[in-house]
Amino acid sequence: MKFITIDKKDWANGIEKSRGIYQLFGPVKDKNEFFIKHLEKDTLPAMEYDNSVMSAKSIIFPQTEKMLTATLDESQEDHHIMKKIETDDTPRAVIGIRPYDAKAMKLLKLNFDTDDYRDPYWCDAYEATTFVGLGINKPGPFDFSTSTGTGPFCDDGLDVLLADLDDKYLAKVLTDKGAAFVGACGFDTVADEKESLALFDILRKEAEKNIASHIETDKLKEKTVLELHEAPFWDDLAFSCINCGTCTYVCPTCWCFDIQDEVKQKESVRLRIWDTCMSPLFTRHATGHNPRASKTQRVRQRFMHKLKYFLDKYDQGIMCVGCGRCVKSCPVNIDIREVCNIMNSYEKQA
Amino acid sequence: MENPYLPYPVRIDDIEIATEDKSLKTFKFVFLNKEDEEKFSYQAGQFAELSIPGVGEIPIGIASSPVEKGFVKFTVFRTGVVTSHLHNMKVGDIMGIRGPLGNWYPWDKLENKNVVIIGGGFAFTTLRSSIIYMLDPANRNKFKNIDVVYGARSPGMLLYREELFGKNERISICILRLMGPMIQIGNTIQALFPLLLNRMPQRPMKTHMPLSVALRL
Repeated sequence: MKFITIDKKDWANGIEKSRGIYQLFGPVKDKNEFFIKHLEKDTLPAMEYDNSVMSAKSIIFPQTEKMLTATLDESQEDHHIMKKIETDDTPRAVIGIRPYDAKAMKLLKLNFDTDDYRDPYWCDAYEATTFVGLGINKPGPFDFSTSTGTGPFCDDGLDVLLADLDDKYLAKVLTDKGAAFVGACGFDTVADEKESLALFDILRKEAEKNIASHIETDKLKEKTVLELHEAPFWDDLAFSCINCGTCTYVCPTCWCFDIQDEVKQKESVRLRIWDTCMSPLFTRHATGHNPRASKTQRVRQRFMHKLKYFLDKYDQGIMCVGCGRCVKSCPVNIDIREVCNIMNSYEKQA
Repeated sequence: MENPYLPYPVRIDDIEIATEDKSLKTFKFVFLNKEDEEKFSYQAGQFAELSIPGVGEIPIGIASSPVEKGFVKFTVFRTGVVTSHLHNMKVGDIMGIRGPLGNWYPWDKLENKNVVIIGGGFAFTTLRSSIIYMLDPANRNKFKNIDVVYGARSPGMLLYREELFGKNERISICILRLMGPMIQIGNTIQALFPLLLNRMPQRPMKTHMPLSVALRL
């Protein structure tokens, strides 16, 4: 680990310089909101943003991704034989990613990179990416990241963590990947380690003071799946849900996808597309039978997966990083903080 | 590690109509590349994704048994987009299989024990795989009695009838109406059946006349 000071006057030049090696992604302002997008030439990441509407997961796990292709033209020798579509896994860097989004990538990795299966699309993209995080000086009202094992200056899952100090950035370079990126930008003003660590600590404490909402997760582990599953509160919690699926799309830790085939002329392409467990179609069988036919079952499934099944299976905390996007985006104000606290404090009546 | 989404190319080698009403067909696939067959090494009870380029893929239980070499078999009910397409395909057509996926029956725990196999309808496919596996000369003496209870809506809906119930002379067959009296059943089944009957849901039995086969292999 080392620390680098970056004068903001040198920032634009350095970023442009890194394009020789990296494709760049970062926050871009679109109307009044921010999105994590590909940074076109001469576009700098909009570092003054509060939070992006969508998480950064699409950089590694696009909303629609081409996986396989085959020709249906029977005059071709290899007709109907599927082949992998070559993916672009040249180095890329996401600049200004929020710390909780980087942490979320690490949770996604548990699913996409296992001993039994390695998802080549996700893993190759993840390995090609350098995560340059930006600490959150003033967390917004929806941020509850300190109670989910991350926080405004958490560096877990990041290669570089930047702190915005008005006229300069202080960069905490955490990995070799991070050092390579900083090197490619030509940022080389080394800062004193002790002072920098102390400064990061002050910034973190200041930022954490702004976080007003907290959740309790300490008792989730000891409860049985069945007692939470059969708890009486699910109908009430799900009552207002309109099954729009927004919570799953904006969530940085939601990983479910559907696989679909598309045909143009004689070329077929197999795609994977984000799916949502909030939709009845998610579980409907071809026979018409649906094991999660009711809204309550689906809402319960989402929260049980995030807050109980994941916790039990991986023992890496809950599958929520406290970014607050689902709370902000939900059209009917279903609040994961409230659900989590209800689940955590639930005691089965004898 | 290989791409787990990429299917192995296969050719349809044979298509058999599996039930009277033609809603089920058994497809026999041969791998285009011999080495893929070794990679597709499975256990009785597992499933695979049948993959038709341009249409989609579906998870189907493997009906063939690991002891049957040179091909894999799947029995498929015609119900949705992909299964309907598959039912219209012909011998010689090329498609894909990926897997094997899922869990299997714990064969080591069943050794030196009486085995009772209970199945119903066309979910019997992976049980065919298991039966063929257990009856293989290399495996048969690992197990004691093997009893099978198999039910379907009507006799014509029983899968693999000839193959499993018709030709094997050691088998004592009794087709029994679940609502009616039982005749000639193996000891294990006799002990088991009242229990089984009590647990059967009543509703579907009023609308259909389910038929069951109980046999000792």
